[in-house]
Amino acid sequence: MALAGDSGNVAAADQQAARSKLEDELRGLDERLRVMLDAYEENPSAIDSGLLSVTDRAVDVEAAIIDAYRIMKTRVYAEDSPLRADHDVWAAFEEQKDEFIGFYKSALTALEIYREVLRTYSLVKTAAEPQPQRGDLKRIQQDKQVQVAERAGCIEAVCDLHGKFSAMLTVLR
Amino acid sequence: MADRRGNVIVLPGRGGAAQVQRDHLEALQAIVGQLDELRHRLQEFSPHPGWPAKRWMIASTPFRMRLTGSNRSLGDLTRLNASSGQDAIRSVFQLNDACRAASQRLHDIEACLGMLQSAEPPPAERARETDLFASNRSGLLAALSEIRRLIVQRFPDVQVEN
Repeated sequence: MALAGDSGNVAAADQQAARSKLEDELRGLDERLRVMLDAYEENPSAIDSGLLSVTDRAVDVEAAIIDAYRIMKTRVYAEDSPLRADHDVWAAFEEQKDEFIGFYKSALTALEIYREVLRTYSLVKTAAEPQPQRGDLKRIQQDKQVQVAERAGCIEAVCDLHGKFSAMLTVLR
Repeated sequence: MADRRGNVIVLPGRGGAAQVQRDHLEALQAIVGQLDELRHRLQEFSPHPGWPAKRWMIASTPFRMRLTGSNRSLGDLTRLNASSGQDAIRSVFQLNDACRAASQRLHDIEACLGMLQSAEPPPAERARETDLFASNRSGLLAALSEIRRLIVQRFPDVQVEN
């Protein structure tokens, strides 16, 4: 016959295992975003392929930030979150929830806008006449500047979200 | 005596005085660990007057993630200090004063951060608030070092990392 103490120990062990698993997943996402941002720092246009591709989730930064949001919503802030057992950690995450969501929304909006700019820019580029005319360079330069500025803003918004996400995880270390 | 460690209230069991002593020591070590972590996060956090609000939000997050635990630890330490015998009344007062100073600085820093993280204030006000933050940061680091020193002095069995 199992003793009450045994079942208590088992429950505590399960709780600890669930927390470890969640922490590993959070750190995995943190690393995934960090690798992407490192690549964008080296070559900002690396973000373009991910945004234009509809199949490759490995390079899709939007998929990565949505995954980060989902794990926070469905695991960290869930009713049965394993972090709730630790009052200090749970309170710390709760206090940062609104800020995290704010950074997430900014990043998602920036990505949405940049995707549209990038698609339109690609269309404009391919629709250009076969023989460039005098005066085209100025127009091309302006188009490119708009696209590059939008991309820089988009990468910055993702970088801010990652900074917030990563900083929140420091309490787990 | 009842100790509080993390989320757990530890009541003296059948182990008697020795067990109480061990629990007491463990609780103190947990407090030192928590306050060391806060100190470490604060040392890493060196802001710039030109930072926009969102930069403050991100950079202060590791520190802010430690606030709940640190405030609780300071409260626990005050209680443990008071219940640890009055053999060295001067040390009791000193440690209480240091805890109170740290709590006050924490409160002041939270107020500064609240302002610096809000919608952009005028540059002069931002610079003033940043200076105030720096001053409170130094004050809190000093108070935390003093707490650590007093704990080691008053409770020599507590093991702390240098």
